[in-house]
Amino acid sequence: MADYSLESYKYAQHLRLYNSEGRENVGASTVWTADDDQYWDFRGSTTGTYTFDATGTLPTEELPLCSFKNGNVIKFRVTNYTPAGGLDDPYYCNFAVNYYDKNGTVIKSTYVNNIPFDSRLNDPDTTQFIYSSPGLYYQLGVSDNPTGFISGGTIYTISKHGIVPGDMPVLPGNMVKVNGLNGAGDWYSQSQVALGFTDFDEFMDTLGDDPSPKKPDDDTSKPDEGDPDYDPNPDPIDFPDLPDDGDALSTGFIAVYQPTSGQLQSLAMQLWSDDFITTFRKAYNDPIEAIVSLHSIPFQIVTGSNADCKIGNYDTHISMLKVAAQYYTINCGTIFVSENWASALDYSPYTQVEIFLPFVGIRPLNIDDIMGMNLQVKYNIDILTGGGIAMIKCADSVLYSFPCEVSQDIPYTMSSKMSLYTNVAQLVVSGVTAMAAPSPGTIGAVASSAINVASGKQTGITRGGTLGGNIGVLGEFTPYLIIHKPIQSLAADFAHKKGYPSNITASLASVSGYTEIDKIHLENIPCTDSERDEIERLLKEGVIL
Amino acid sequence: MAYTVNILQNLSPDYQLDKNFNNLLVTNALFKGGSGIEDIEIDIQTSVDLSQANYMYIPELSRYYFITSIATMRNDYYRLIGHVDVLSTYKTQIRTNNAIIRRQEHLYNKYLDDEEFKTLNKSQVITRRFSSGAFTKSMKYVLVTAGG
Repeated sequence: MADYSLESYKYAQHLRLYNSEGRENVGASTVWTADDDQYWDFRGSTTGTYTFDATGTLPTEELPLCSFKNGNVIKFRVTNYTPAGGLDDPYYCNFAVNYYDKNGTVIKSTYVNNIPFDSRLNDPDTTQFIYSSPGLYYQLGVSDNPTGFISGGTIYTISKHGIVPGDMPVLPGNMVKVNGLNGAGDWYSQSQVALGFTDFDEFMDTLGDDPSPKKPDDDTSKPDEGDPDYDPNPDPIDFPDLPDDGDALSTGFIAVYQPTSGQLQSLAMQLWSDDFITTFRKAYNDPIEAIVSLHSIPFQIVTGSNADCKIGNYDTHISMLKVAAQYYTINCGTIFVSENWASALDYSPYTQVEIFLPFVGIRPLNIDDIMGMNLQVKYNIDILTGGGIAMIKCADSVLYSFPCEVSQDIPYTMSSKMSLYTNVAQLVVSGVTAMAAPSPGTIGAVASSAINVASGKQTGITRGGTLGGNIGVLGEFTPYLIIHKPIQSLAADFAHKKGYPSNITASLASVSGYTEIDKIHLENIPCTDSERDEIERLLKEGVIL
Repeated sequence: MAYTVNILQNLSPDYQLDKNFNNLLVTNALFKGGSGIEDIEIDIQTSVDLSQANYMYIPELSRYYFITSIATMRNDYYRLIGHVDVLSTYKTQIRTNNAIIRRQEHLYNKYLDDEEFKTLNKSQVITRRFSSGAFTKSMKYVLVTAGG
């Protein structure tokens, strides 16, 4: 057994898996990227004359090299792999790849055994491909399989976190038995990888069999050129800057403090003292008029030095931190929205998305605006009023803005308390109104089966009303997306039986397999007119080239 | 007029250009009067079992035919009715043409909407949290007073 290091590599290779139809997923463009705190663990071994075993985890910088797409495309780099018998020897290898969450729990696993290496491995400077043929093998009843095994009807995997039952949800009954491999136990072949599902049939139903659009060199389909003077490059609309002048703090009319609860208690005692009331009645009808507002803010405030709190011209002699800035930007981070199907199913009306924004609530987004892009959420907030605006930047431009109220009002008089209750009541009313309104994402019926299903799900459900101020502080403080994804039911051998949409102009000599023609001008065929008509009709109905 | 006819057993779908077939018999055939070139009726004499015959090729006409009917006339005499298989007959010439392809097995663009998409009447709900929560439950008091 030879260990290999992931820190450096000598012979870089890629592994590609075939889909259910045995075709390689050439050109899959979407690279799966692990979220923060997630990582791949790669373990491998070979059978036959050479065995290697990987330990440790892929370093962070290697993550982009790993891609996982809808269970049927997995690419990862095997590093520092040197077959003992020489690079030209026909070796076989087994791989197990486990995908963990930040708690170290295996959430996805795949097993790739008996992958014959391509004979072109003799060029270490060139990216090589290892083709899985005929696909994956799962061993039944053999407990010493280094990557996983089935025992007593339970499927186990072996990872660095120990033996984990049930992580390989594959039922042997759905697989093709392959006898005699390695002379140990019965092996079963299945050319797709089952990940994250407990029911194999359910998993199979969800698979797209080849996510990568394929176009030949002679493809002439392209968008209409349109106006040649039209500039297709959008102008980036970045998050707006905060006002850099003219804030209320510099006017001298008001003062803003960040008191502690103890300081507020001391202030409250002074507010109702005889001395305070006597002083204030010289200038105000009601001394409480000199307190503009008291509220709390759910983020760090920029403060200056301590100063005695003054209410009007009355010095309380209670030292408090003075607030140094009126406007704040709160960055809630980013998220990348990745495709699942690499097809129209990833977009409307099939896939829909909502966003929860603190102090705003749940709002619908257009999935077409955000798919394949980085989303960033920022708030610009005025702490004087507690008002703000929540903004969502999709790629380079801010496409969504929602007003919000992020402060929690604290009643300090009867009138301010009544005002607070009124505000809360208004929020409740606005929430009820919002729930009665149809969802903005509702669409009309469209004459296709999947679209009908997608549109049928639009029942006008609103998941929340307005979450402002006093109510918003009770909710979640981190934005999140709620993505509604369809589960595709893809019949086996679909591409061969029906094909996928093409809209590509091509020579019929350059394509093979099931083909339906949209338009053709038949030329150079020495046939009768009725034969020509029949050829055209058959091509449009679908033929196998 | 007698023509040579190859009686075949077609193993492929009718709509496939390159068909796989078994040769069953090569014999002479007599065309029935009035037969067109696309739809033919021929009489043959043979003792070979024709129960597997469903396809034929006539070299003189350079055409493949689907056998649509086999009628027994009398002992060892059969009348075959055929319809031309234009796909196999002209497969070479068909392939010299360009076309706008509507659906294809290998050459496609799955970002085009497809009326053939089927989805289950349930969906997955995936929640994705943004990378940082800058708001804190540790609230800060803000007191705004007149003057100061």
